[in-house]
Parts: sequence; C-alpha cells; structure tokens
Amino acid sequence: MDFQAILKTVGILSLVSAALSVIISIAEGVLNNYGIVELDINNGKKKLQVKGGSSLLSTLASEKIFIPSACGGKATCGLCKVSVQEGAGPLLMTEEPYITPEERKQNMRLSCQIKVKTNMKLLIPEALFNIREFICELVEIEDMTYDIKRLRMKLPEGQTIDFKAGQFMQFYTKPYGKVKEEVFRAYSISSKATEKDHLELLIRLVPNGICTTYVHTVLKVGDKVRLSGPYGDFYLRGDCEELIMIAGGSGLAPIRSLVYDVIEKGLPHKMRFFFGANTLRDLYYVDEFEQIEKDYPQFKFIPCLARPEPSDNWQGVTGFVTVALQDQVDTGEGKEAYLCGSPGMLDACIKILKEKGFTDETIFYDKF
Amino acid sequence: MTPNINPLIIFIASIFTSNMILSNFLGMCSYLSVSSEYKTANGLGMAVTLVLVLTTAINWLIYTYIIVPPELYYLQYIIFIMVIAALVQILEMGLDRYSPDLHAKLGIFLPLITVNCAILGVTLFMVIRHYNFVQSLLFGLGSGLGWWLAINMLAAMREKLASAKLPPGVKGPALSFIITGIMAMAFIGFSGIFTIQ
Amino acid sequence: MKQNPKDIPVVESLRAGILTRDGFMGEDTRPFTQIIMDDAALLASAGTTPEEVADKMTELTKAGLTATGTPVDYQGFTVTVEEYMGKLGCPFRDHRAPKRNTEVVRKDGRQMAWTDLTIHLIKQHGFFQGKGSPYRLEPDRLAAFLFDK
Repeated sequence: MDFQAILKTVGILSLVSAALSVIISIAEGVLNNYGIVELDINNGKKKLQVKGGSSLLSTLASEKIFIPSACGGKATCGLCKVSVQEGAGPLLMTEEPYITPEERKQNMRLSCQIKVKTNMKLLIPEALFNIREFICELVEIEDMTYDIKRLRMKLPEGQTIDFKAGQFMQFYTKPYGKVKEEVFRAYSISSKATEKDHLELLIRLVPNGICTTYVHTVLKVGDKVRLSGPYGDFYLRGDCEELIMIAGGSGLAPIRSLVYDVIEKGLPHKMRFFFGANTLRDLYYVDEFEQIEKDYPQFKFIPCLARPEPSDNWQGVTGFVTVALQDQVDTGEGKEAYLCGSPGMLDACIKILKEKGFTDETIFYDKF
Repeated sequence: MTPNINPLIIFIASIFTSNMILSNFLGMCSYLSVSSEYKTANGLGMAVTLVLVLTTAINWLIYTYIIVPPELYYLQYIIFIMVIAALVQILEMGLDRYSPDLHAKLGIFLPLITVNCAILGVTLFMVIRHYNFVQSLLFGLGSGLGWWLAINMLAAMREKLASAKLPPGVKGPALSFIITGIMAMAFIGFSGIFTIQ
Repeated sequence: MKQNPKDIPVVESLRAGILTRDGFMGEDTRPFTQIIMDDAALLASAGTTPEEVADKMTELTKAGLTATGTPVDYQGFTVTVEEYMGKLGCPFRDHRAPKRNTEVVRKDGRQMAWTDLTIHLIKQHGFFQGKGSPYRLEPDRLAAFLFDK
C-alpha cells in the first residue's frame, strides 16, 4: 500500500467520522435541548423557570419540591403521581400499570417517567411544599421490644420541622454489605408534633428487610441520617366526639403522636386506643400510655394479646384486636377511626368498622 | 452494471423469496430474543424497517459518492457501521422529541438495532448487487417488511404456544428454531414466483 | 443470544440491595430467563403448573391470615403468617405485594416458607428465584410439599 493510499484512507475515515460526530452533536443540540421551560404549579400560584430535558420528578426535586416516591425513579412503586394538566404528552407504557382509569381522567402521571420538554401545568397538593430534607444526627437508639427499635434524631442546629401528628418521613440508608445503592423507606413519626427540633421513629425488623436490617444492625448513635418529609394525609380530622385508634406492632408510632397532639392541644375528644400484639413481649410503651390514662380520663388504652403465654400472667383482653373492637365499639356514630398496622390487620378491622357504621370518610389509615 | 430489474420486483422478492431471516438467516439474534411477546416484536419490527430504509438510502449515497470515486472499497464496512450507529442515535433523539409515544414503545429496541446484522446485510447486498438508488430504497423497505413479517409470525406463534403442553426438551429456544425452520421451508414455496440472486 | 432489552431493568431489580437486601438471584449465575425455563420443565415433570402451585400457596396464606401471627391448622398443614408494614415492588414492575411471610409445616415435619411476592413471581412470571436466594423454592419439592405427591 503506497503512501498516497494511506493518506486517502485516513483522510476519508476522519472526514466521515468528523462529519458524523458534527451531525450528532448538532442533532443533540437541536433535538435534546429543550431550553428553559416554565412549570406552572396550581394555576399560577407558583411559577418555576427550569431547564428541560430531565424527568419531572428530578426537576421538581432540584427546585426543592419533593414528590413522595419509594423506588427512586425506577417505575416500580407508582407513588410519585402528579396531576399534569398540560405538557406531558401521551401516557407511556411504563406508566400504564400504575394509573387507574379514574386517575387517567384527572391527568395523573408518574413524575419519574415523564420528561420535562415544554411548558407544563401541574397540580400539586399544597402540603407537599412543606417537604424538606434534613441531615439529622442519631442521638438515641433503644430496643422497645425484641424486634422494634426507637430512633431519636436531632435536626441540624437552627432547623425545625412542622408536621401534623400522624405523618411519616422517608428514611435513607447508606450503602452497606451487599446493598450498593442508597434506598429509602417510609416510617411514621412517633414523637410529639410540638417538639420541632427532634424526630422519633419506631422501626420493626423485617426479615431480610433492606432498610430495617440497616437500622437494626449497622446504625449507631452519632451517625448522620438523611430524612425527608413530612409526608402523608394520615392526621387528625377531629370532626367527631370520639377517636377510635387501632394499631399493631410499629403502627403504634403515629398513634402515639396523635394522642399527644389531642392532649397538648387540649381538644375534648374521647380516645380509645386498641393495641394488638401476640404476647406480652410484643407490648411496649405500656407504662407511658397507662400514665396518660391516669392523667387524662378522656384517654383509654386497651392492649389486646392474641395468645398470651401462661408466664405472661395476662389480665387484659385476650384475643385479636378485632374481637375487642367487635365487643367494645357499638356504633360509628360520632366517631372517627385511625388505623396503623399490617395490611391484614387493617383489612380485618376496616371490615368490622364498616359493619358498625363507619364510612370511608371516617376511617383513616396510611396506604404505604 | 446496474441489474435491469424492476424495483417493485426487488421489493416483493425481498419480502418473500429472499426474506432476510427465512432465506438469508440474518438478524437472527434479536429475532430470537425479542420474539416472546407479540407487542414488543411488532415494535422491534417497525424500528428495524424504519432504520433499514434510512440506512440503505444514506449508505447508498455515501458509497456512490465517497467510497467509489477514490476506490476505497475496503473502508465500506467500517463506514457503513458508523453510519448505522450514528443514524440510530439521531433517530432516538428525534423520536424522543417529536413522537414520545413511539419512542416509549421502541426506545429500548433502538440501540439493539445498531448491531442487527440484517441492517448491515442489506447494505452489503445492495452494494454487491449494484442496485441503483430506487432499487436500493425499495430493497431496504422490502427487507425491513420481510424481517418485520417474520418476527411477527414467530412471536404470534410463540405466544400461542406459551401455554401449550409440550415436552420439556422442546420448550424455549429449541421451539423457536423448529418454528423458524418450518417457516423457512414454507417460504421456499414463494421462490417459484421470481428470484433475485 | 442477545439479551432482550426489556429484560435489562428486570435484571437490575433482581440484584441484591435494589428491591430487597439479598436480591432474588442468590449465587445463581444463569440468566433469569434460563432459570424460568429450567424450573418450568422441573415443575412440568412434577405434573403441575405455576398457577396451580401459586393458587394453593395463596389458599394456605389466606388460611393463615385468619389469625395473623399464630399457627393455624388447615388441611394437614400448620400455617403461620407474619405481616409487616409496607409493600414490596415486583422486579418485573407489574405489582406491589404486601410484606407478608408465610411459614408452613406439614405433619411429617417438612416445612416451607414464602412471601406474597414469592407467590406473585411464581404465578405471573413462573420465577422461582435463583439458587441461594433466601426465598428460592425448588419447584419439584414445592409441588410435592403442596400436593403430597
């Protein structure tokens, strides 16, 4: 091969590849550049100028608006739904499984799947604007039972959190062991809503659980933990005379916060708290609730043990929490029910409550 | 040099008598791996057809005006592949912008097309057979439609057979090969109509 | 054979530390599509189908749910269901299963355990998980266990 041929080869090759890369970068500049677009939130209440090209979820997060999400943009949780009135384009295949026909009518979309390309009109519940991120310090970690730990975290100096009793936070783990990426899970706040510089969570160990294993085996006092919140619409409505509260396991957390909320606000509601557990060793916070019972006659604490051991010497209600509900709650008239626990327990309790005359409007529980 | 064949005959022949999969056995890997579901197979077929038409057109121009004059025939492979890769990338960006729905449907298949041998195969056939521009264009379109037809047929049959009671050894890839073989034999039946090489 | 691009996010979700702590693959190095095919053959030779197996498992879990946390006797099985709060996404992203563990013991001492997600994976995807995964169920043993063959 002579010199001229080599030159020609190199020349043509570089020419073609240069031309192609120029074409690609021009195409990218033209096709992938959506410029600055405007996000109109809640009919003009808030207007954001953002750079297009990323997902709506991350674009909003960079503007400090946190949409609840449990999978981090992988389209497996279906929680990051946002009502997009204009500018989202057609429903994508990845969204289809998560959007019900009713939500379709409300233009609900998965914000992690849709890309910000043009001006958009969004409807976002006001409550979400209150959501912020906190890097807290773990100041206490305590065993409440053999599988439930209480975490007490201090907010960074000078920061406070405003939450409604009953709401939950998202807790982010750091990578550990086989877990190479950050994951997060939702946990209800168990501390008082008036205590604005600390947060407490109750976390039950789930076998092979990704986040609970981290909390139970890796986390120690002094560690920094990342939280975001508050989330959720599980909080006191109070449009009634009596509150029926039902919890199992770590479901006690939001109920504790709710009870203190009623007491500290001096609200007149009567409260009955049914707490379901298997044996005595699953019960916790008993002394505290009994003390509240003594100090505030409006509050009744009713722990129920499904199968107390003979050694437990149990004097209280024996049987499932549903049995106690059936016996002790006569009617749904003038009552609201607040539930937190495992899905099976929720289903069983809701069935009984509905028979008693409670309705979807007077039964409250978290759906996560 | 250019063979004197009616472009329409090339078009029909490339769908039936010299089908990319069933008589040339090109583009087999994505044909086998993306044919378990009819819907996705259909999406891939559509994408392959689109890319085939565009690449044959562009590669014909590049071949005729850039490779032939300096007689650098040995460069054709690398240049053709570069063109295919670049085109797929631009196509992906364009689809995302102007047809997000189609992009959502095809999005994940587009990168796979870059390495689909049927695409390069069609370009090389076009060169070897000295087709002119119109012939190449229809050859590309026909080959794409033929590929699309074949993967759709396989996917439809695999979907039907997914719930059938079959001996364990036949299930999975073995069955796909058997189906493909039988389809290929059936397509021999078309060869009586006319042939192009 | 090239990987179906649709499978890439699934493969990602099956890894340890993505959806669950230990993932769904264990030490298995086969592609999950291969596991599904191998297990389908195993199950077929045991004379049953993923639907039948999954329906029986659901039936047992439902029986255990009548008294969560306590052992329930049901048709020769002793079923204990334990529930946790929250839901777990399916790696094939078509379902969110409640975090619910079912432990079943037979009179002869054989026992097996599964979660609601395990049932969903078997019923909808024919996926019994990779060898070494904490919730891997051997199809032939599972069939024998459920139907006493």
